[in-house]
Amino acid sequence: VRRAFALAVAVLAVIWVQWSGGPDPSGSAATALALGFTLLGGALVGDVLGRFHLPRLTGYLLFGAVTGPYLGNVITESMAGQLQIVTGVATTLIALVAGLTLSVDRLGARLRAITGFATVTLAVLVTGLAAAAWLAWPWLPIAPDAGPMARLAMVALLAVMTASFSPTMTAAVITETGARGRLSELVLAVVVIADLVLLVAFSLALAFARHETAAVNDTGIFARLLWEIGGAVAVGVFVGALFALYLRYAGREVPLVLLAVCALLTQVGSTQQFEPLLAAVAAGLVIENLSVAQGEALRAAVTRGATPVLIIFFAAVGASLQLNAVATLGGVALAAAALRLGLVRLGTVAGLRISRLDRASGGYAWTGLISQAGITLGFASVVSAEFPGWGQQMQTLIVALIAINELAGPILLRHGLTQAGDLATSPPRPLVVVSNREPYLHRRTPDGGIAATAATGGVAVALDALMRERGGVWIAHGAGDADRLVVDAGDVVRVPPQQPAYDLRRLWIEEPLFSKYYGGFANEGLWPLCHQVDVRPQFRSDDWQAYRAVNARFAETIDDELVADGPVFIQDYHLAMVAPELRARRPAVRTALFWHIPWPHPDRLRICPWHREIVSGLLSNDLLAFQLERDRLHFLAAAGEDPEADVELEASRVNYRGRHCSVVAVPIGVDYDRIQELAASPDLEAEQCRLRELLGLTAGVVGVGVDRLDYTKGIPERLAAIDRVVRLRPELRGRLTFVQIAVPSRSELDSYSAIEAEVGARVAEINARHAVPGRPPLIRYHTTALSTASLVALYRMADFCIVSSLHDGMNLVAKEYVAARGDDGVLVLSAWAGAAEELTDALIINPYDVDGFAAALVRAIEMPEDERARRMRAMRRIVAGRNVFSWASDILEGLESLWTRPLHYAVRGLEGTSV
Amino acid sequence: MRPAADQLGALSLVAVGALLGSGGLAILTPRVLELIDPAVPLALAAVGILAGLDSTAFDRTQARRATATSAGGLLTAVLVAGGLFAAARLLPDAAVPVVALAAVAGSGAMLASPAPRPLAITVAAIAVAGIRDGTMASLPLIAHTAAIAALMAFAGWLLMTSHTSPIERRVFMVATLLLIGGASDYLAMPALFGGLVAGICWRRAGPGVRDTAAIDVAALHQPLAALLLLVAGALAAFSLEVLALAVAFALLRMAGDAGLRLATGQPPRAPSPDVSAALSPLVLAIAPALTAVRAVGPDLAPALAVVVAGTVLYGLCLWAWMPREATA
Repeated sequence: VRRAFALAVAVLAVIWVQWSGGPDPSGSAATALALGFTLLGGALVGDVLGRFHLPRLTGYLLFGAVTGPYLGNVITESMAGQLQIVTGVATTLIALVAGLTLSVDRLGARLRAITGFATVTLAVLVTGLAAAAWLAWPWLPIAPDAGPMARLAMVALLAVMTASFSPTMTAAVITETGARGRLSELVLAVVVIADLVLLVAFSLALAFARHETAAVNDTGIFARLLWEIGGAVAVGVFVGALFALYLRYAGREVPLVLLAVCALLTQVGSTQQFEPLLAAVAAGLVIENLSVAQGEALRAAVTRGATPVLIIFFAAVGASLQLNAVATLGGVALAAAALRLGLVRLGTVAGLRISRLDRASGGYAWTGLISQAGITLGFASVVSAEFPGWGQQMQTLIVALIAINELAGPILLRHGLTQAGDLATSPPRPLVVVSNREPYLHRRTPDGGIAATAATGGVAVALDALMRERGGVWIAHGAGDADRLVVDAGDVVRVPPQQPAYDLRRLWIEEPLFSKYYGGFANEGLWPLCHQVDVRPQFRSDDWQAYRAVNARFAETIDDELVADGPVFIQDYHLAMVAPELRARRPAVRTALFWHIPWPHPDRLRICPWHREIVSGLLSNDLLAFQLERDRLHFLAAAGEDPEADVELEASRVNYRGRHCSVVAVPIGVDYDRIQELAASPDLEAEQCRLRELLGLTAGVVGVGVDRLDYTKGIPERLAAIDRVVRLRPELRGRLTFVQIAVPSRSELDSYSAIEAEVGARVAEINARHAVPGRPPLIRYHTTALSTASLVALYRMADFCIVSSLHDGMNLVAKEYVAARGDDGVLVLSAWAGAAEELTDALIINPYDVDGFAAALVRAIEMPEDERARRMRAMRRIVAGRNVFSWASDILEGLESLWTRPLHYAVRGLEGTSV
Repeated sequence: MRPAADQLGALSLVAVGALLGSGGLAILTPRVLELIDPAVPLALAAVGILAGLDSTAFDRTQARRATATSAGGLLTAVLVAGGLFAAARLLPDAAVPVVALAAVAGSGAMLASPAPRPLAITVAAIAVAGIRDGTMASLPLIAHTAAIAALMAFAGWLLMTSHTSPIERRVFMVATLLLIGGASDYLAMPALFGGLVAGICWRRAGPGVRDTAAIDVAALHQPLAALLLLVAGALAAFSLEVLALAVAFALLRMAGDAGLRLATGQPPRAPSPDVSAALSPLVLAIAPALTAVRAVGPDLAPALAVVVAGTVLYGLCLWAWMPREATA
C-alpha cells in the first residue's frame, strides 16, 4: 500500500509538472524526469510481478507499455524518444555484462559442442521459417504479387529477421535473476554466436534483395561486413584491454568509467558504422578471460549498479512498443510467433542430438531463444528505410512479432532457468550458526523460576535477527545453570522465548575439558597469540587435545543437525578446527568462518606449536572472513609459508589439498538503527537520571570507557592518561568525571585476575590523589554489565568516549558510541583498534604514549562545537552505512553464492569488503 | 578539511572538460553531452539535497554566526555581481549577456562562500528565475517548484521507509533524485533548489531518513560532481573577452574575501569543502551558471565560461597563496 501510494504520488507529481511546464519542453529537459518516473514505476511494478514468481523484467516492460505514448501517455512520445538516448548506453552495458559472463575457461570443451548446437538450431529455424513464408506468401500482408526471385529475396530477409534473437534480453534476464549455471552459459553463447551468423546472413540477404527488387549492385557489401564485424571486435578488444589495465592499476570510480566506456562504444559505433553490441561483448570477453580478477571486480560493480540500468532500459523498450502494430497485424504476428516457437524447439532438439550437449540443461535452451529486441528491430528499420512500400509492411509485421516475443521471452527463460537449476527458487536454506557462546541463557531466578537472558553483544543480536528471519539451528555451548532444564530430548530449545523462530541446540562440555579448551588453549594460547600485548601465550599439549576434542564435538553436533549440506556459519577463534572435522563427515558441506580477533603476523604465528594445523584447519572452510585487510594479508602470507598452500593473491583465494578457500575482509558493524531508536526513546531521560544517581554524575564534563576487563583493552594506560590530564589541568579536578565500565571476565586465568587487581588499585590511587571535598571522584569504576539501553543512555551523557585498546580486532564500543550520539561528542580511539581503520575522524591516539594520549584528551574536552559536529557526522555516516546486518549478509551472501557459482573474490581495501 | 589535492583535482576536471569540449579536442561533442545530459540535473539535485540535509544550517545556537555569514555572503554576491557588471560594460561590443553574467556570478560567489547554503541556493534560484524571463514574473514558479519537490520528497520518503534491500533503496533514491532534478529541469528552474527543498523535508522526517538519504546521496555525489565539472568545462566557450572577465571575477572574489577579513578580523582561508557533506565549493560556484544555461539556452554559454574560468583562477590563487589547514 505504501509503495502504491508512493507511485500514485509520483504519477500525480509528473502530471502536475507536465501541466505546469507544457507538454513539450525544449531540448532534453524532459529526459531526467522521464528517467526518474520510469525507474520508480518500473521498479515497483517489477516488484509486484516478482512476488508472483514472474520476471521483474516483464514488469518493467509492462510499466513502460502501459504508461507509454500508445496507452497511458504519462511518458509522452517526446519523453519516450529521449529515453532512447539512454537505451543505447544501456544496451552496450548489458552486452558488456554478457561478455563478462562468457568464460572460455568455464565453457572449455563445451565451446565446440555449443557452436554445433547453435548452427544446427539456426539452420532448422531459418529453413523452416523460409519454407513457411514461401508457402504462406500470398496471404502475408507484404507483397503478395512479387515475382519468384523478388519473393525469394523478401522471404530470405523475412526469415533471417524472424529468426534473430536478443543477446541483450537474454543477458538481462540472467543478470536480473542472478542465474548461474550451464543453461545460462549455453543460451548466452548460443545467442551471441547465432546473431553473429545472422548479421552476416542479413547483409547477404539485403544485397540480394537490393539486386532483385531495386536492381542495385552492392559491390561493397563484403568490405562493409568485414568492418562491421571485424572492426567491432577489434575496437572491443582494444577498449577491453584498456579498461582491464585501468581496473588493475587505477581501479577508482569504476561505475563512472564503466558508463563512460559504454557511452564511448555507443558513440563510436554509431559514427563509425560498426556494431557497438558486438564491440561491447568483445570488450567483456577480453576482461573476463584475460584478466580474471579484474573481470570479477567489474562484474561485482556492475551487479551492484545494474538494476537501475535494467529497469530504465526495459521500461523504455516497453514505452516504445508499437502496440498499434500488434492491433493491426496481431493474428498474423501471433501465428508467426507460434511457428517460430515450434521451430526453435525443433531446432534445439536436433541441435542437442547432433552436438551431444547434456540434456539436463540443454533441454531448456529453447526458452532462451524466444526473446527478440534491438537487433531484430534494427534489421526491420534498415529494410523499411531501404525498401519503402513492402519494406515498411515487413517492418510492421516484425514489430508486432517483437512485441509478442518481448513479453513472452523473459517469462519462458525464467521458467527454463528454474527448471534447469540455474536459479534458486526455493527460499534460502536454513542456516546453521555455530559459536561458543549461546544467544540465550536460561538461569534460575531467586524465586525458583527460570528466566531466559538474551546475549547483548552486537554480533549475537545481529545473528539472532538473521536466524529469526531465516530459521535453522544455532549450536552453542550451554552455559546457563538452568539450560539443561528447558531443552528437549535432543538438547534443543526453541528461541527466542517470546516468539520461537529457530532451534538452539546446546552442547554440554564437562570439566575439566571445558577449562582446557576455553580457558587454556583458546584464551591462554590463541588470544594472546593474536593480540600484540605483553602477555605470553601458553601452549600446552593437553589444552590442544581438549581444543581439538571440543571442536570435534561441535562438528559431530553440526552433522547431527544438518538437513542438507549447509550453509554453516562458524564464529571465532574458539572453533578453528571445526571445519576439518566436519568435512571428514560431510565432504560437500559449505562453511564460512569469521575470525573476530586480529590475525597475527606469520612470524608471531609460528610461536604456536600447532600453527600449521590451525591454518590447515581454517583452510577447510569455503569462506574465511577477517575484520581487516591487514589480517587477511597476514593469513594469506601464513598460508603460503606453512603449510605451503597455493595462494592466489589477486583472487584472494587459497588452493590447498584440492580445495579452494576464499579469504575476505569484512569489518563488523553495530545495529545502528536499534541504537538510534534507543537514543530517541522517551525512556532515555529516566534512564539517564537513574545512571546519574547510580554513578554520582554531577560533574560538568563526563567521559566514558566501556570494556570487558581484559589486558588488551589498555585500561591502565587510559587511567594513566586521565591522571596526566588532571595534573596538567588542575582546574578540571571536581569538574571532570570519567566513568569506567569494566566487566570482569575469564577471572580464573592469572593474567585476568592480575589486570583486575591492577585496575582496582590504580583507580583508588588516582581518586585519592585528585580528590576534591564535596565533589565526585575523578573516576567512577563500575564492574557490573549494563543493558544496551543503559549503555546508550550513558553514551548520550558522555562528552567523550575512550577506546584505548593495545590491540583489538574491531572494538564495537567505538561504533556504538558514534551510533548513539547526535552531532556532538568526541571519540578518542586507539590506533591499534580495528575501528581506527574506518573511523578516521576520531582523535586517534597511541595508548603507549601517555603524553600524547593526555594531549588528545585535553583536545577532546576543549574541542570547538563545530569541529565535534563535523567529525561526529562523518563517523556516523560510516557507522550507519555499514551496520552489523550488512556485515552478516555480506558473509552469508558470499557463502550462499558458493552453491551456484564458482568462487572468485577480488578484495581491494574497503571496496572489496562486499563479498 | 580535505587535502588541497582534492581541490586541485576538481580544478583539473574542469580543465579536462574544456580540453575535451567542442572548443578543444571535440570529444565531448554536443551529441555526447546530450547522452550525459540527464546526469546534470541529477547532480545538481544531489548537491541541493546534501545542502538541505545539513543540520548546521538550521542550528539555532549558531544564529549569530549564520547572520554574520549571510551578511558576508550577500555582500560578496553584490560586490562580485556589481563589479562584473561594471567590468562587462567597459568592454566594447561585449558578447556576454551582462545582467545574466552578473546574476549567476554573484549568486555563485555567495554559494561558495560560508553563507548558509539554503539562503544562498534560494538567492541563486531567484537569480536564475529572473534571468529566465528578464523580469520577476517567474518568482511564483519558485514556490511551484518547491511544492512539486516537496511532493516528490514525500514519495521518496514513502519508498525509503519501505525498501526491502540496499539495492532497492538505492534504486528508489536514484529515481527520486531524477524526479526532483528532472521536474525542476522541465520547469526550467534550478534543480539545486528542488534538491534543497527535498533535503529539508527529509531532514525534518527524522534521523533515520536523514542519515539514509545522506549516505545514499553522498555515495552518488562524488562521481556526479566530477561529471558536472567535466560538463561545465566542456560547455564553456572561451574567448579573450571571457578570459578578461574571468580575471575580473577572480579578483572580485579575492576582494570580497579581503573585505570580509577586514570586517571580521579573521584570517583568510579557503572555504571548507566539507562542512557536512562533501560539497565542493567549485561545484557550488558553477552551479547557478550551469542551471541558467540549461534554463535559458546556449546564449548564456559565455557567462558560464566566465564563471568557470574565473572560479578556476580564484581556486588556483587560493591554493597558491592561502594557508591551508592541517588535516586532523
